[in-house]
Amino acid sequence: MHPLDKPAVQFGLAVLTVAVLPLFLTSGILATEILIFAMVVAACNLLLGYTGLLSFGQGIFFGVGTYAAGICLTRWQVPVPLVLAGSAILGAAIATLVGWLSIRRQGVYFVMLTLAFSQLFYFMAYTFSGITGGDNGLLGVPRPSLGGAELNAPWSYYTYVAVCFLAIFAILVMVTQSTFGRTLIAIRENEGRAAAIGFPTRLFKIEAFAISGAVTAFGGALHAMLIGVAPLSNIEHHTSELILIMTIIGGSSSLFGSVLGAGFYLLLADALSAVWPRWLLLLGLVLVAVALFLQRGLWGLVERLYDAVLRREPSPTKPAEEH
Amino acid sequence: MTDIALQTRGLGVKYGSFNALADVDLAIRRNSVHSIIGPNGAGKTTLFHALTGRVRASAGRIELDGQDITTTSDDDRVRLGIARSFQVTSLFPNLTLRENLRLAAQGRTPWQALAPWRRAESNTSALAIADEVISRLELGAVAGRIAGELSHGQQRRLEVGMAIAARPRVILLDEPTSGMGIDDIEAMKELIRDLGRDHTVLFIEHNMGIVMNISDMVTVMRLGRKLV
Amino acid sequence: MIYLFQILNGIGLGMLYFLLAVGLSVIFGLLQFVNFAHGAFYLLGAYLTFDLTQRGFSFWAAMPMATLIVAGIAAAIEALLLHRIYKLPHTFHILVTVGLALVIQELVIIAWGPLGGSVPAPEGLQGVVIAGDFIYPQYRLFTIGFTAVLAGLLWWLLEGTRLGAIVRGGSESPSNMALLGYNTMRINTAVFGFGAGLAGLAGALAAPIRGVEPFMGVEALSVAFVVVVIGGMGSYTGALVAGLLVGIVQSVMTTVWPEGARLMIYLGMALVIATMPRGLLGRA
Repeated sequence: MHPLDKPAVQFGLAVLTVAVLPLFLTSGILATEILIFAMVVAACNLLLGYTGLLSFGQGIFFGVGTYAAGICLTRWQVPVPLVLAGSAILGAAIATLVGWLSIRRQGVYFVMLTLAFSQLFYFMAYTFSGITGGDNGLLGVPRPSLGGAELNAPWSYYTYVAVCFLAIFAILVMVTQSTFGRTLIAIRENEGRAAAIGFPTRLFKIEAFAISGAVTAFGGALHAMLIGVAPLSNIEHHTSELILIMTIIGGSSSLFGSVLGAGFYLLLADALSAVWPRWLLLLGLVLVAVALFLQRGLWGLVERLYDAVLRREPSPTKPAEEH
Repeated sequence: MTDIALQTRGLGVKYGSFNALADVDLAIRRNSVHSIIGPNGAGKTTLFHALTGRVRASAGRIELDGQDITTTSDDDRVRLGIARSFQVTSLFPNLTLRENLRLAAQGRTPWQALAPWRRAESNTSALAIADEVISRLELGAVAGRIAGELSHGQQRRLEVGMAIAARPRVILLDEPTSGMGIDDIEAMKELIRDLGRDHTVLFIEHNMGIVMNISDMVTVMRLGRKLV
Repeated sequence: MIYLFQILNGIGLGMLYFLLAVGLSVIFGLLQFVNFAHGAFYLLGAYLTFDLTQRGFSFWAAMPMATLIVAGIAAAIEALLLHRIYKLPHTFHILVTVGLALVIQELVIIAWGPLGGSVPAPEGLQGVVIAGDFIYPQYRLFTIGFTAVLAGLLWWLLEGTRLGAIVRGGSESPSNMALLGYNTMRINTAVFGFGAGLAGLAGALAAPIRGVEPFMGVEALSVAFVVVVIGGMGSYTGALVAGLLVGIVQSVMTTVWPEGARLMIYLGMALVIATMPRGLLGRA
């Protein structure tokens, strides 16, 4: 294991991120958005990096969390902690359903199914506009209060989200280190053998989906409170694509890579979209470049830098395949 | 308890319209070494797939200690005590040798592994089994190495070890010596003979020397059927 | 009568979905590569038709020109870029083609603006067909006939010719193909261009029916996926049956429940997957 992949180091880097963002960013909204997407992307990574499942449907769970928060907070004034917990449970339930159906097919069919399901949920939100507000979304989603104090200022909401982020990140680190997480890695490595030694692999994949869906919906709920709206765009195909892109850019071999991926994308988007509305063109080129030159993502770059600067001897590389 | 550990009656497997296996009656005695021989395409590996539940039997039945397991799923059969090794090495190539065996030992109690809060190291019995298998296979020196980096002989031994770590009553070895050098073959022969003392071993082999040397029983197959 | 109208609409729509799905299938068959830019090629085909007719070309010239330009662009992309990434895991195939789709979509917006437009029905087909009290637009009837002829040609091409054999043979073993003396590199380029050209053609044919707008590609891509998932990748019959089914369901639902018409496509797919995990024709 690379020294940077140790759980304590990973969590330390997450704490560092929370502490450093306010020093470099003037916009509390942007900083908060980075943390929200960081946890959502890490949840996507649990599927992609640890289980080997490329899900094009993460926007479903994000949108479900967004709407759950929007509905509970604008119509019923449910306490925020309850909203967050409820979103996570609902996210897990829907992810179980989507996961159960999608893993009936493997490989590229699986990917196509997840994309088609993301369209299904988008059209559901679009069609039942009485519940979701349709194109307009649900307006006026309030931010939480804590002990009587409203967390309306961006940086005070940032603190709230930061605590949530660290808790979620710690949970995800624990999951990946657990006997469950290590079984997921085995399934990713060789599913046939994992089944042959006795693991009901489908059950493990569905559970991975459920955990991923819970975290993603949790993030979706936090996002609705951040921007004050539960918009239709949060459940769109584009959101699923975004989460996946951040995951791959960050690098799927470590959870903190996902934090890097989310941060890189959102900072780039913030800087470029102000200059040029068609900046997605550049993003497309970045994706091609990542596939050609940076296959282990930003995290792979960090590992290489670490090895070059701090370690005398290069990390043991794999010998060439003997064939 | 009968004296027969594993029995098939009229076992058949179809791939589409092709009869890969037909009318196979087998009775494997408990704690014996039983080998299956026959030319390529005789249906030996298909027989293993059917016995472990990787493919469904299209006809006949399979009994483990008198219990009908014909429709039991592959992972459930592991818990009932059937484990196998593969003809083409099938490991977790980026995990260490010890982790490979730990997973194989954990496979007997997979429900435990569904708990995302439980640490892998807390299952001390799985670790103990892994270490026991490592010393039985004499792979202690490379226990921390990544499986994909092991030599071919070591990988073949680990392949068999994966089956042993499931603590099976019946162990199915699919050409355990394929591609091995002479020294490694000797060690494998010893291992199989030794396994036969407390396991029921069913194995596929091409090398007649080994077959004659260590088998208690031999079944010959050809064109999906049992000849002798 | 309204249902007959909608079923005919559905057949026309379904044939376009079929073209999209066959293009995706052909590319996957040879290159083991899922083209997430497929919707973008459809988008490009539609916009090129829009542009060329705006410039005064007749639709009859614009449609084949748009198709060929899309095929040419796709072939160039394959030759310059895609052949470098075939050996990578499919995550990277997806990443690159998603990137390409973004680039194409943004270029379309830069060139033609974000609002979209409409393409008039071609000259000679602007009227309606009247049979008793049944009235149907001529152009829509034409697309049904034209795509039916195309479907016949495609069937002959894929099942009856050497090209089809190459496409099927190549998917089995690229190195065998090389041994047989085929230049696999050039075949890959040609087949990618061909598959993308089919998407472009579907876009060109769709333009007079539904108009053009920059986000029509995403919808086309996901519908093509639905068709391929329920019909089976690499299955000509599957793509035809599933394409028609999806088209007809969507059209008929437009009458029954207009807001939910597109939702029904995906609910239908979920139902198929829940009950028949291997798709309608039971292939992997």
